[in-house]
Amino acid sequence: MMQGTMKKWGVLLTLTLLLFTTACGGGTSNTASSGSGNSEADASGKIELRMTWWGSQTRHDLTTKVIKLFEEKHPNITIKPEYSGWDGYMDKLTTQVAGSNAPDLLQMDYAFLSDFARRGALLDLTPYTQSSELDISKHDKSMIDAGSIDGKLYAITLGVNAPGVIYDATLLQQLGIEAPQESWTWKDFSEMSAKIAAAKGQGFYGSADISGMTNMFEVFLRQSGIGLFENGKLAATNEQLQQWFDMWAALRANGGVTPAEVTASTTNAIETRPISLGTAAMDFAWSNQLLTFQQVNKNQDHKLAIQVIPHGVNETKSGEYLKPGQFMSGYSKTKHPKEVAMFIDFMVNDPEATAILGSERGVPVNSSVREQMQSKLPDSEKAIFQFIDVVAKHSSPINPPYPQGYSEVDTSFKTASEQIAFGQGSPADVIQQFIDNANAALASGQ
Amino acid sequence: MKMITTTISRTRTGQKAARTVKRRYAHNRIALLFLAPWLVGLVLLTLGPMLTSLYISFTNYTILNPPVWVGLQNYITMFTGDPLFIKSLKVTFTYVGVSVPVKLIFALLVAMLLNRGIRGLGIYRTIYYIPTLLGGSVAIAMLWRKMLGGDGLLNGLLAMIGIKAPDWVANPNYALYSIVLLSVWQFGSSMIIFLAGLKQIPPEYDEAAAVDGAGAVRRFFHITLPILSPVIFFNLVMQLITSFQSFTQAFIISNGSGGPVNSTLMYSLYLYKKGFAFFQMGYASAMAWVLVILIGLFTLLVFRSSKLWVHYEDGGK
Amino acid sequence: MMIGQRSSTAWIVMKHLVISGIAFVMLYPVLWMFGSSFKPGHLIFSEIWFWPSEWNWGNYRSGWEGIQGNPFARFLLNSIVLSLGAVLGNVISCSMAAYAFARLDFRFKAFGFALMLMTIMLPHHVTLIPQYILFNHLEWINTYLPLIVPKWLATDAFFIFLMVQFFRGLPKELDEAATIDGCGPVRIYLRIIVPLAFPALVTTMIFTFLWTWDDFFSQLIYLSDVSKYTVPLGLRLFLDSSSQSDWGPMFAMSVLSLIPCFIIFIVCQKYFVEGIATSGLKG
Repeated sequence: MMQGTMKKWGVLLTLTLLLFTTACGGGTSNTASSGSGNSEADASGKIELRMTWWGSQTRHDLTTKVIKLFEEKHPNITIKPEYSGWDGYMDKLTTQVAGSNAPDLLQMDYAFLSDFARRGALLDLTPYTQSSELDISKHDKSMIDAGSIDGKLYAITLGVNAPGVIYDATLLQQLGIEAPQESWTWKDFSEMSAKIAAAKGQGFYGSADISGMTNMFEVFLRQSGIGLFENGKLAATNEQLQQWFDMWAALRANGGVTPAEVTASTTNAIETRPISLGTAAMDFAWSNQLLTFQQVNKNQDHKLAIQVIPHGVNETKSGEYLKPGQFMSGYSKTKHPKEVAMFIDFMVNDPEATAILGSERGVPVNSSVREQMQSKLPDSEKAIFQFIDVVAKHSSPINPPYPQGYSEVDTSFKTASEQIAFGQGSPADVIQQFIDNANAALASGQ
Repeated sequence: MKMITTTISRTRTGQKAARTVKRRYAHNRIALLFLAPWLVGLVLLTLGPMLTSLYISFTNYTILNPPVWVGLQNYITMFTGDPLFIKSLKVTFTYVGVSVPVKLIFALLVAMLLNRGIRGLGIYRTIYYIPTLLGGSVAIAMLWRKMLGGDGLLNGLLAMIGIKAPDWVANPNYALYSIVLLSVWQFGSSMIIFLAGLKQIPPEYDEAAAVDGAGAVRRFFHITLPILSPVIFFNLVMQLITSFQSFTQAFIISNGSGGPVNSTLMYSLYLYKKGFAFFQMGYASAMAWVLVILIGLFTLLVFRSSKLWVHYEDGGK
Repeated sequence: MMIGQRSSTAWIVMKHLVISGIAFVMLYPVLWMFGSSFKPGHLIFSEIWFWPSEWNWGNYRSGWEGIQGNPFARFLLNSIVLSLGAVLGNVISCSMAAYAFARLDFRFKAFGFALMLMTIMLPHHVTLIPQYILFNHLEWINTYLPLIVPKWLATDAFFIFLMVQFFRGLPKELDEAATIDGCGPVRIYLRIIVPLAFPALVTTMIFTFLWTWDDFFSQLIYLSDVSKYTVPLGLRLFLDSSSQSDWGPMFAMSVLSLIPCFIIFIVCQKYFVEGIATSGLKG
């Protein structure tokens, strides 16, 4: 009897393994996917879509409002919202894609776009831009390019961002230091940081040390005319890395930026940044974060402002660029691609919807929406719009989306910067090691 | 506690007996009934995914694409071409080597303090369990920074007596130890099991020994420790298994990075990053199975050694 | 050591000082959480000491309101339902399996026991995706089934191991006497083992309750509707590391969600000790 039972278990076990292999069989058969939420349109023509995004309470409120509005205008379509904070969002989405059960509409991050698109998880939106569902005629070209991979449009930008330096305008005024100008250079930045630190004394720094932020290093690289990657390989040279890290090392040495320990105790969460804690006057961030920086600042009476990333001393072009804050994409296995495209169109082009969403995800990508909005903005948001305008005039186009393996490169860049800051190993060795690691990661990602 | 040793010896005698007496397994059917939920769970929910992960460990699996067979490649890369893997091994061994004994000793000492003649025992017991209640809450990460950070509470106290201390959480030399401290701080479960064990030592033993003129230290080593050894053994086994897999603490304290400079890159944390952040689930699965072997070996070692140092009141039968 | 030392007053004072000193270190996090739950968000990070400069109940009010018509009470209720489901499952299924391993003789016992231990050793991150695919085929995603059914199928081997330890501590003569009286294993399990090892079951209950209450990752993976969210997911809704976080309400609700755990622990804590002491570890 025992033997017979064992056989039965064996059969069940094989079944489980089979389940896995069929589920992983991927794109070939849509019939195999039985996503629990992807209900078919029933006889009455009702369609249900699932939509997921990450964000704060404000974003949840605004986005669900837009969904309600859309449902009112399209009574046959309902959209089930599934939202959370950023932590764990990608883990969940990845698992859902592996299980062929991802939501029809998904908010995407620039860093993961090529991973998801190249691996067939995202819906090609190109056909719907040619028919009438998705109108991108008024979208900035660079944002369309940023959402395209291998000539196909996979993602629509929800908000335009640009990297910048956030600074404590009130404090600079108090210290009698002139606020950064649009034309400032890395040299100006270094001098200003040192000056602030000297004026405020022990425990206060000019700026956070962001030598480990890959995005900001990319801006630095762009100023000399290259991107972070080229043909799936690291484009940064040994000398450029050396220059970058040397500049920050000098700043650490004269107290201009936060020392290694303080930097390491800072996370990306805005509340933990030195400027928020009242221990630094400048930080590097994305334009749409300015509002949050202002809200969480320890000194509520201080006014924060934003300026472009310092220019290279003899730069060949502006390093600044417009970057999609977040994307909205469709899931490649959605049963209702047309409706997915319709909703994305509604989110970025509809006057009412865009009015609700405002600039919470960044400055709207549709130029006519942007113009309309500009007139009735509160002052706090005006600064962001103006900043984007400035950048739009003097920027260079964004580089193609990051290659697969980017997140590993990003991690080891941060580690390299920490190694140098803590004095673990000679900078030259660390840099060489980073280059090797990065290229290995990029090679295995392909 | 004795069951582990008995299980091993039983298995041995069991095998011998099976050859001669077939009626040894008296409860085959009824055992199946009792084990039915576990067996169904094992086969349907546990074993399938486990074996799948074993299969995946021989593939290149990006999660988003179907797995591609690569044979032993992941295992070879791990030991020959991945310095971070070696680093994570070192970090984990240091963590296990320090945190397990320190936590157990601390839990034992507090349990002994609480064991006798204390008013409000229940209240203290609850208070000491609070850190364990908090578990892996997000608040812990912040709290730890507030207490051990560069301008945290501890350094504030140290500064008062003129000591300038480093940032214990953000300095790569100490970061791991701040996580060890966190795990020691959450010692509640071990303490409670020790308390239970201590409750079993009849007070007469101690009194008799005291009358015979045995000092406190002598009594601890000759009476308390031997009687407590089965409890120590249980805690040791469970702590070993969980510490080797330790993930949450390093994850929340380092904000998922394992930093600074990978100094808190615990094995499980690296495995998770490989799988979910870098989309190398094949490699992550291979790492998981290496960890199973590692933990298995250590557990076996402890089981085997238990004969030498675990004493049972009934002589271990 | 201090055991048996003559109890001078100085010694008692010392002992209490040490114990309450440690107790303060243990208690500080809760004090800190409590204090932070009254602070506006920007002060939680910049103030070192836990005591709030002003007491402000706004965090509790806005936290309790929850999100999008999902009051925090709903998350609490969901968590209670989920945790109780898990507790019941674990207690029943794990105690059954433990009884078999501790008391019955059957083939492949040693092998089964080793296999059970092995399931504790494999990191769950690598089984997550196959498991998700499995549950997806059963159409269990976005229900509590993937979080509860495994407990009813004794997949938390830790508790089997724990209870095997307890059960083996019960004198075998009891079983033998019962067998002579004509009891089969089922009745021995129900009439002798379960009542005598009841404290062990309570221990399992408490641990299962707390761990389920705390478990963020698997609940995040399997639950999608916000109305089905549990406490850990509800708490994280206040946070978004990429933009803005409402730390104040998060702390307020964290404090609130500790209360059920406290109640459970305080009601049951005496069993922790009595349980193991009377039945578990005696040779």
